[in-house]
Amino acid sequence: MSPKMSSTRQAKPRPGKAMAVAATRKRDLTVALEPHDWTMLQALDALRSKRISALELTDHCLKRLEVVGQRFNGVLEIEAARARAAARAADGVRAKAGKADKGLPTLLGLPLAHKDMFERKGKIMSCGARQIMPKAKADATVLARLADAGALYLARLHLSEFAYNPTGHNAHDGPALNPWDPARITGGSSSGSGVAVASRCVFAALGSDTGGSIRLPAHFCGITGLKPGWGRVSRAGAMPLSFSHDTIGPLARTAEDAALILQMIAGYDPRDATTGRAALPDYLAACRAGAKGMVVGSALEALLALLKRLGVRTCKIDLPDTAAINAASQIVLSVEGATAHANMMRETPELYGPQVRARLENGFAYSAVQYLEAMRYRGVALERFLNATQAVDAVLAPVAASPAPGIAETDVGASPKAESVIQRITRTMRPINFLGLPSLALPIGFSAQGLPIGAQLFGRPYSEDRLLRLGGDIQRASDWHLRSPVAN
Amino acid sequence: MATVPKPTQATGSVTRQALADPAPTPERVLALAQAGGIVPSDAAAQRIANAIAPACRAFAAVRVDLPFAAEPADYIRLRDGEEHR
Repeated sequence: MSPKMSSTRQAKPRPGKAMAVAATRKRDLTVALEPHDWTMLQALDALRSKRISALELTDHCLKRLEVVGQRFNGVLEIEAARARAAARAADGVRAKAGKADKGLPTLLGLPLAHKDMFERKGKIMSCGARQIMPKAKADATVLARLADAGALYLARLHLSEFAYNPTGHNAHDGPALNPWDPARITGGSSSGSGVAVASRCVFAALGSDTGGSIRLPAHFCGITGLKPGWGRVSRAGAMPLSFSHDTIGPLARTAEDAALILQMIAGYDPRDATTGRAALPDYLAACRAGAKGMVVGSALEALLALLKRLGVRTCKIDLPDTAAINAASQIVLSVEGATAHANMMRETPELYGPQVRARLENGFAYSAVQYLEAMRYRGVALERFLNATQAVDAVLAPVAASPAPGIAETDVGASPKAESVIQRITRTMRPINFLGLPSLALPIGFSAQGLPIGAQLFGRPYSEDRLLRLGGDIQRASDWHLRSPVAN
Repeated sequence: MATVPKPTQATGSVTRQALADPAPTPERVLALAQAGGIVPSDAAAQRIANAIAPACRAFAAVRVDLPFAAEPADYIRLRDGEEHR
């Protein structure tokens, strides 16, 4: 495979023209664009108005998964027959409803695919690993909720082994390749979700975020990723890594698309005791409400002018204890990962790839006192964060220090420099996981090499609606999220 | 009237140092890993000690100031206090 594919379109940013470009695209959308260029909401509108059937849309996405998704090693298995049967059934339901389709499920007939770490009844999730998991007895809550909403499941997507790597390397399945430049990483661990959404194979995909695994692929692949706060979305039936860090959320093209997926999957679940009982806001309405009057504390200068144009006040903010929070997060994540994998590490350690095995071994070397002190510190650190952010709606910060690095330079396996490479990539991620905060990662421009750059807006617990309000307004005033790496 | 002795405060740097964890040596790593049921090689123990040392050092700076009554459930109380903000 050549490192620069001829079909790759690497648009350069055009500062100051973002709004005009966005408006033009909106006018031309349904005429000029292929179905895979639609946003998820536009695809749903096309399904509702019967401009396309679920089967036609599914076939279109299946073809893209076969050709494009597999080219970037983002797909583990395509389930074409099952997906087409479900699409036909969805078309039948819509036809039967006729014009009275108001009560139909919100996502009826929408093709999706997900990181392969969610249980499906009677099936075995791979977790990107060699170990064979038991057959699932029930669907993961997030998949059950998406299915209830009418969404289709097209494919199992690539992920880092046991979701324990931030680059998208996998010792068994190989690395996922960045659709903007296949010599570069996608970010992980939701690497296949990043590929599938960025290369326009599906309209959204679920990922998990324990130390940046939704936000890093969003940043490196030029798409939008929403990491909900801890307890907002059920983790029941999802592969565990670190029970006090794990969160599940969508990767999508736009904040509005991510908002609608969050609406479908969020909320209290008796199967997950950490989920809160707070009522769900209308996330899509929040996303469309406009950001005027909001206050954003910033550690990043690039977006400030745009935010000010939108009527958002900005201020500098100093967040307390980030180095200590990063350290505490590493202790907790390492120990909880080692605990989740303890039996497999004792019985079949040889089945792990070298890097994951080495990182799991690290977790056995912290004492119980260290772990519990880090957990005691979690409340202290959250209280300090809440005090520091009293006057702001959100904090704007980088996702990573650079655009996507090369696959070769980050293929460090279990070498002595592995931990420092991983820490460097995840430095701005982990404090947010340790504090259980929601964070919205979205594209904010391109590097001189044409690689996407993202930023994250994070906020206090249960502030996903405020983040989406900001993200929606930013994307209405820019077109970074509409750029595509792959020609039709 | 009897005088009540004032409690002494651990403010000296030596005391604080003693409160902090010792550096994770390979021997300590091996002991903890074996207690957890895995047996790393000597080379692996050295690698692990090097890998976790920065986090141990960075966290030691705040652990000495943890409030006496702090507990993990404080996090849930603070998080859920945000539900209706």
